[in-house]
Amino acid sequence: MTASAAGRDTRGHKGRSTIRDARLGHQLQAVMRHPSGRFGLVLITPVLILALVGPLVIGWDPIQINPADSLQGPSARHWFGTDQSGRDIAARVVSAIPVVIWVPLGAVLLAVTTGSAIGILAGYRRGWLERVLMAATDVLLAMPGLLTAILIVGVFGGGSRNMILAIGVIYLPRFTRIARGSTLEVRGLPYVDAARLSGTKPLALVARHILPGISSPLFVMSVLSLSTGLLVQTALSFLGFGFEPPTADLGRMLANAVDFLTLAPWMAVFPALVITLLILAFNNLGDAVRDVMDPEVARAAGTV
Amino acid sequence: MVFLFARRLAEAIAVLFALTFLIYLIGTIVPGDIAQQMAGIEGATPERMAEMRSRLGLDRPVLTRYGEWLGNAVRGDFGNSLFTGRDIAADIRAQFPVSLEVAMVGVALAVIIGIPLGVYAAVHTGTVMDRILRGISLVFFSVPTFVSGVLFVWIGSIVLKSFYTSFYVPFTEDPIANLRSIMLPSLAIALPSSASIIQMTRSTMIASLQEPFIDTARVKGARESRVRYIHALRASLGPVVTLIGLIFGALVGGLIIVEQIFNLPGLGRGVLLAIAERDFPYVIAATLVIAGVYIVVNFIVDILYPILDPRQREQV
Repeated sequence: MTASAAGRDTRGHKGRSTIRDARLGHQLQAVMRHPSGRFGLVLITPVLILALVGPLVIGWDPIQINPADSLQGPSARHWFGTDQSGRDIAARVVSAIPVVIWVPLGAVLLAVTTGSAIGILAGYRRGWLERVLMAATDVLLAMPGLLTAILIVGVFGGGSRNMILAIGVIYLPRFTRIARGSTLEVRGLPYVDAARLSGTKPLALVARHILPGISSPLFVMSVLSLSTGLLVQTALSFLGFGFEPPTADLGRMLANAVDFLTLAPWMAVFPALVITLLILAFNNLGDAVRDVMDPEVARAAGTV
Repeated sequence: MVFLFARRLAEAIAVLFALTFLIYLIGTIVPGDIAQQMAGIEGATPERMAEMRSRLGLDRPVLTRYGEWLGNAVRGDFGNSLFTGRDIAADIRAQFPVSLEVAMVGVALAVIIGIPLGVYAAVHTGTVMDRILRGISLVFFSVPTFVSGVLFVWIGSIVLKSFYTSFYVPFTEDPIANLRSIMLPSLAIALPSSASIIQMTRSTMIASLQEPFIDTARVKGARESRVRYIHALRASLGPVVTLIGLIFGALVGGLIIVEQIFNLPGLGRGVLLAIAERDFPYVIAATLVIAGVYIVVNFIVDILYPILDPRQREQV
């Protein structure tokens, strides 16, 4: 991303976007120089390499059962050992990594787009609409997050789409609040007034003048939400609301391992390690992004 | 102050009321399933389904049913479970203390771990121990409850065999056995919270150690330990208490998970079981009780905040 931003910068497209791209590139470099940012990258890299290279070098099928090989410890044949049905744990872990990254990303994307749209609408229009929207936001915030997600996935069923929906709904009100707060701050600034008085249409005004002004707190909150999104997703899987078996699913693999803890601890170790590494990585990256881009959000988001 | 209190209370009640409707709606979106389930998948002829629906009252408008349900719920009657046929309110009354106990022991553990370590880190800022503590709290904060929970089950069943029991014993029956059955789950939910408390105590403690009244205490000849652990610590506790309140509310997710891992007969596991059995009257009732407690705790934190931090009083 740094490379593409810098590339566009040197080619010099439209003036304003070039300045913004250069700033973005600069900030990304700062995130990578930040100790937490560097630590996060160090943690996430082996997991990503495992996810990318794993399928090419592991010869086992993640869902093929093989009773003759059941409950074997890590060996040259099965790197991470096998589970009670003789399935290769390395193959299962590797095949389950993409989804624990895509689901939180999708959920955050859903929450940040819908949440900001609602927040900007509330902050820009004010009046009764704002009061209704913010009351609805308060109601959503009054539910414990994981319970909301369990309720949604429990009623509508698991799978990627419903998990993205469930996690997205938990985060939506946070983005609504941030977007509304930032919009309220920005809309009173002289340059927004000037644009409005010179006849800019509301949608264009929001897109051109309000959105750029509030994007940085929203971005910080998005990155901070990734780790909790992953946490909720793996928790849902752990509780049995994730993907239908036999699809490999890190949370469910860990839950399944509980019955074999003394016999085959490796069944728990590898899924648990990947989940923890990813959360630790996202937390560190989030800290770095927050420090670099917006120390203000730090306090608002402190109580996730 | 009184006005603020009244407004917050009205808001909390309004939110709870809105939640009853929302949760009732979600719980009745799949009424067909309930009728189908009760009629049996095989024998679900259209006639039987219609009979079932009218017996369960599913053929009447949602609003009428909601009104009736709310009227009963306010009087503490949530009806009977579709699965066990037992009185839901009685079941919840039996499960609630289990969850509450685990949550309270969890908060206590988080405080016992968090405050001394936070104070230690603040007093020894910049030392190796401070950095190690920062690393520890980062790990505590990042390890999901279901990972630490599974780890504790493993430790409990191998290392702490004599200490750990895998079934719940009520406190009134045998306090020691009760403690043994809830210690590890409470510790599992306490870890992430203790990390937040360490960091919060550290930063507020560093700030108060630089305040003028600390110099005053030293000049008056108070011993250094007294200055640190009495004067500075007391001034640092306000934000920490608020954080503890917030943690209490945020424990709900962790509770659901540890009750499942450790087979504790609490509300969280009750909800999970009921969702699996599609026992929606129970799901609606238990969800509301949990959300209600969550709202009450947040309300108390909101009210406590201006009391603990005088600077907050002028605002609002």
